[in-house]
Amino acid sequence: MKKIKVLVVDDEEIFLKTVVERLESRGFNVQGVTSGKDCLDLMSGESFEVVVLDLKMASLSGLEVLREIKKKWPETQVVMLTGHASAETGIEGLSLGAFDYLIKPAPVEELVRKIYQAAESRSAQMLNR
Amino acid sequence: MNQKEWEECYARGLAFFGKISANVSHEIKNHLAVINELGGLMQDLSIMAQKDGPLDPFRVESLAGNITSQVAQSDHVVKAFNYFSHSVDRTAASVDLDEFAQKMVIITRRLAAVKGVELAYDPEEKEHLSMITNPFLLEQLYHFCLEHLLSENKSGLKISVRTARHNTNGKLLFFCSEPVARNMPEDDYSNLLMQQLKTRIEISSDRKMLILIIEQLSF
Repeated sequence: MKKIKVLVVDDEEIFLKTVVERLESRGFNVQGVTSGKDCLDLMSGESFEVVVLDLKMASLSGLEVLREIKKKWPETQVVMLTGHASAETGIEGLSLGAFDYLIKPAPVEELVRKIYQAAESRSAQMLNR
Repeated sequence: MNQKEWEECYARGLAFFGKISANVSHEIKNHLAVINELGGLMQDLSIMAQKDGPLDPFRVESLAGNITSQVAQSDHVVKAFNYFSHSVDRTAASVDLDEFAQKMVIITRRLAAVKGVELAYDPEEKEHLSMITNPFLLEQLYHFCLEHLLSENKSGLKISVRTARHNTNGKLLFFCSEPVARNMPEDDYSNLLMQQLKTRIEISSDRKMLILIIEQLSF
């Protein structure tokens, strides 16, 4: 079975490295980058089914990256990660086209479930085209 | 202060307290998220070891070390936040300016980081200086200076905060890695704070340094 291609974007290096490893061990094809710019650069040359995107990052914010992704690669599904105690920013992300959001810290099983749902939703959208 | 000034002071002070509290809670949440993933990874490795063979002790040691480091970082933030929270206890108190600068840098580092700016406390030229002042108002002036420098939106900028003696008074120095300091905008509230604390702000001619000069309050 083809592995789902996932890109994780988070400027906290230890967090990023750990999440990438945990998702890889659960059968995903995962890459990780530490900035919004690196995310957009990588996506210019390679396609991903799901992007797991931290909302609070230095320089280019997660919401700005989300806008760019949905403009350039609307078929890519984005699951946002937010450290905010309130869900306000996550909801703002949904209005910009994100698939869903998770509030950190979240159990990895929940992230895995969202990634599968996002990949399925992407496949359904591609079939309906 | 007149009634209107008190009301302004109350409203702006509360907003400032809220902003710093929210910022600190986000930072602690980030550390918790990292600890959560590291603990989860240790659990994953342990489950895998039950099937595939022994755990690599160096790997476990490294993960445990990362957890300890995250806990230590969160502890620094919590201690600095506790210092900040108690600053509203008294309107005049003896403040160790070095400790003040160190704690303020810890609780505002993330505000700078989200703008791509590295904020650090530089103890190199440390001169222990205790001042009688209003700590909460001084914290607001520190934040006012920092926000002013951050408003330039210079990603990659480094700001180092130092303290120095100025005759019998104290100085908080914001050294910038490039010229960003401009004259402070006219703002009624910051003027009120400066008047209350008998402080003034100076900018170096190369625009790389913003200096907050603080006088001892006398009674």
